[in-house]
Amino acid sequence: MWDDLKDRDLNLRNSLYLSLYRASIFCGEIKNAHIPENLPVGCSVISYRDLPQKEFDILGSKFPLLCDKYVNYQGEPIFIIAAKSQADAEAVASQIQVEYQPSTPLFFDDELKASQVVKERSETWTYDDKQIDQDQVLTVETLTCGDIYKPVYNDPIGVAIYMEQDDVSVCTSTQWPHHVRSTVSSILHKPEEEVKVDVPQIASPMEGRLWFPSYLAALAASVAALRPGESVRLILTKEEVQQYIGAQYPFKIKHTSIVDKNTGTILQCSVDLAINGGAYPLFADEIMENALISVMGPYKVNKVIIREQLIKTSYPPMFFITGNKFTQMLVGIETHVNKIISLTEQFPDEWREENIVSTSEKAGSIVIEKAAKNADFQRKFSAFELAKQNRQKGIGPDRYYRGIGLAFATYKATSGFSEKICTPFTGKLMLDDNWQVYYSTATVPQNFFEYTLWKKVIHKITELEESSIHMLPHDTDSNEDSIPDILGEMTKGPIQLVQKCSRKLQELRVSTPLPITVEESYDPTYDINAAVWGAAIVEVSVDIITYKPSIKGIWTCFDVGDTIDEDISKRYLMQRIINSLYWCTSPGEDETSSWKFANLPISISLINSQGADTVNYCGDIPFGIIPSAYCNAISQAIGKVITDMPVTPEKLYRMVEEQ
Amino acid sequence: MLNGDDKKKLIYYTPDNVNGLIKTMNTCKSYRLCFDDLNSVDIIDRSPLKTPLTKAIYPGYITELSALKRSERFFEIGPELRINELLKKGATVLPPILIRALTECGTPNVRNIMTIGGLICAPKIRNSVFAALSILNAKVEIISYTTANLRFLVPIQQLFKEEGLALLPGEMIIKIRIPYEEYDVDYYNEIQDKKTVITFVGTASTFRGTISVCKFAIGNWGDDIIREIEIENGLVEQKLPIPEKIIEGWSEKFASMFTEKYTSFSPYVQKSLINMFNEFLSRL
Amino acid sequence: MLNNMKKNLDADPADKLSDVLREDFGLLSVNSGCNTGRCGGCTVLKDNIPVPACMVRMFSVRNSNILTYEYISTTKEFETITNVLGAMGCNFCDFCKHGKMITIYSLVMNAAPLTDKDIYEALSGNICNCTDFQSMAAGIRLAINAIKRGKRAERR
Repeated sequence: MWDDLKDRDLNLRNSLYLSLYRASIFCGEIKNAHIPENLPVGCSVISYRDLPQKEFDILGSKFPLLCDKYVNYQGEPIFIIAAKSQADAEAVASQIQVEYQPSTPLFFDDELKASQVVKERSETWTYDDKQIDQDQVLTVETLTCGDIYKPVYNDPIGVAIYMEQDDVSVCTSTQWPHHVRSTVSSILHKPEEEVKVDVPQIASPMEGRLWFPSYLAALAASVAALRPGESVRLILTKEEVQQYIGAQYPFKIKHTSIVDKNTGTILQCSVDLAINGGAYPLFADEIMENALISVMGPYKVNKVIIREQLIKTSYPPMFFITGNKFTQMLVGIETHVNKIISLTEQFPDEWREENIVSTSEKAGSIVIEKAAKNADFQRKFSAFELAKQNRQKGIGPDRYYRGIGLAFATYKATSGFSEKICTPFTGKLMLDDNWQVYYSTATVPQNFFEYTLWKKVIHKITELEESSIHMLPHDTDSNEDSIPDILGEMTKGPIQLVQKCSRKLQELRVSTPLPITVEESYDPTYDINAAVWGAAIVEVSVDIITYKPSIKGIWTCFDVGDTIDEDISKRYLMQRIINSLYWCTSPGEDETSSWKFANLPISISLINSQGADTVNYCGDIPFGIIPSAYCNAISQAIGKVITDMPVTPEKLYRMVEEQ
Repeated sequence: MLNGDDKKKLIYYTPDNVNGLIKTMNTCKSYRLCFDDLNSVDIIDRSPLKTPLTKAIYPGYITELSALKRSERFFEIGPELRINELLKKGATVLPPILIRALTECGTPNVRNIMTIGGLICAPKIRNSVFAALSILNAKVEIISYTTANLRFLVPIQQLFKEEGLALLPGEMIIKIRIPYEEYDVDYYNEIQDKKTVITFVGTASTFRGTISVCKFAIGNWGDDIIREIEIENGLVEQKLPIPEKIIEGWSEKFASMFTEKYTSFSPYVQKSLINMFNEFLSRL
Repeated sequence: MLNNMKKNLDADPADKLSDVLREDFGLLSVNSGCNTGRCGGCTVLKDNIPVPACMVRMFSVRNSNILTYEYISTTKEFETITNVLGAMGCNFCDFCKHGKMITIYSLVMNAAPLTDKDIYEALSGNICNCTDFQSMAAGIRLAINAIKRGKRAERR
């Protein structure tokens, strides 16, 4: 898209190369640090005390840039080594010696210390306080654990700061360029107008890019402040990206339900939720608030008792990466519902259709019905149940254990940070003398499909050729401050902004001579989005020789409202489905894992039960329903409830052998 | 594996023909033999002089070393033949388990620079291909330029000794020779155990209702391969179909080697390998 | 030869091709991503075969012709390929664009009939999934046909 990227590149020459010296213990005190005396020419080692600004601030939550005296997680940076070359930096790093006094790490396990609980909250929601007849009920309990999500590594992650006399130019892939700018300018004590942030063309997915680039920029800017006039670059290694980049919060969720024996309806549910907040639990209030949204899913229940805890552990700092709604917790409720269904011997799709919350019954039923029909769900479910029962009776050896699972979820995009973020989405649309349209915004989308959508929106409203519509780079000089896409309305906010700009341009074209520039803003905080619905069915087969599960097919149906372009929506959802599969199978094992799903038969149906002009994007729903359906399918295949992700062959071996 | 510290320490020789290679080898007592960009092996002077390593030889420009020939009884593969080229040229003639092992050794772009000689000599990667070559009775033809071009064949499993690749200064692998045999059963399966890939390869032939040839090997990335000749020999002349009780017996014997000899495998890996062995037998 | 031009260079034989192309020739399309040959961001054509430049050493390129994205993007065939891929809705991000286009260019120029499996296999060395596989596969097949038709027209 933009060829001037050639001049802006993370691997710039004649700059200082930065490397982070990281703690090798989980937690403990730093007793002594020995830095070599004879450093190579041009090399510096920067510690906490040298930093011009000691803490990194993100929306009011703070944590130290470097470790001072106490290590809080393994890999916490202690020193920044600035050298003229990578070899020099690595040589200095290998000579640094640090003596630690290790202390017991804070784990996220059943035996938690009282000091680990950062925040605790209890709530009871009562919808119908009927008496429960203990003879007619059974108690169902499930415990689901979500592991740390390791992002797909597919590009270098880092930051480069160019110092050109009075101007400072920062190059990094970030979803929030203005926050990077404000961070760098405050550390360098320069006005924001003199700092420009350039965002190279985005890669996808943009995991962890919300606050992490600002954190890296703060580290690099600290060095730039101490070494005036010198450009710096900090590029993380693959291992650093996989282990230390902001990941989704792991959790443990225990559902204990009292269920009607005959109908399978959930009468009462107690939810115990523990969230791993890492070494520096950020956004405690927002996390606790948003976690509640997904705990019970869209199912009817008379009474819910929730106990929530945010736990401090010796893990790196975390952040939401695929939305702040804990879509992965949908796995917990779906696993629980699946167990209820298996105990009450019903069809999963029928149970769900009967037990959805009434306000959303219609939309929910339609998506489940459609997905089940496309997948021939009931026939396969019955056949695999019969095969499982035969195996339990010892009839017929099977090479492959087969299963089919269904999951269903609703998702509603609401801003969890409206009080902390005051700026709306901003954008600029320009029509020049040659009838070429340029759109520019500081809101960086999460993936490519959004650029195509924006072009289509502009084309639809202004009726100008799509080939004459161009997207300009996201840099802070050309655009006013704008909230990041992820904190607002997901893709809806930016689309509404594009629509607003296009309508204004269309109005002005009649009366104003060219060139025309339109600047608009869109404030999503007062807008209420309709819910998005999704149902997924996954068929698996487990090879009993190697315990490797393989996916035979995926059928999905989404109600996303009025899509601007169905083809783009489907391709976007396809990408999200593949990313979610990568997460729940065996992440971190191999970067090419996500490609092995490229050839899977995946069917996506879209429906709209919400009327015209209700654009909603369900970017995160696949992350809730696909892993759930996958776990449910494997649970049917091996006859045991899967509660621990990712699902690896080794885990399946242990579960099969335990039977 | 080539490292950045090789920079400015080694002098590289890239001969264009075999005579050039001979001349270069005759002048170097210790050198690094670079089969391809990724894989190299250090040939160290074992004399009391212990000449330091200052030179490297890359024979990749010698066309004779990148040939694939098929005679009546053998396939002969040059050590400098790129894996993808080998797969393309030998798609219909090479044994299926070798094709499978070669395909799994890297992404297509990496296979365009990896060579079969480098793959065999690489300390970490060699095992899945090595296991396949071992059960195919592959032999390596080595030429010794220092002793009047003496050529000798070495079975591939004897190519390595405790200290690494058993090549002396002046010796070079010029061919990998695989006998042309058709097997009734080819079996290849693999599992991933954390960062290692463990492969199970097996071939067998039958004659008049009995097993005439039976070979299997376990390739463990980063470690040696496992061949159990006792079990292989015990299965020869076994009448087919093998009764279940006998399969169970052999399965127990196979499982016992994990408790006696190869104890470092996790329970999951052990069970998977036993399952693979059973499946291999059931295919006979 | 570099981009069909003879070049003289004084480089250490153990230097990586990706470093030399970036630093000595300023060819920034060769991205250093994973440095293990897996991500495909540094893919270049060596004698018309896609290779990861971060794994190639200078001692092995003496007699080879190295083609980078800067060269292939000036060819007519490349224009056809980008038009067809654009029509199929393929958008590549700047981290993987160069590597993917090199691989696609070499696939298309070989003009052999390709199944989905062949395309998938060939592209599995370029791991970024910023665009979906189905559009890419369809685009590649259309591009092969378009270039064949173009060549036939030229011959006439």
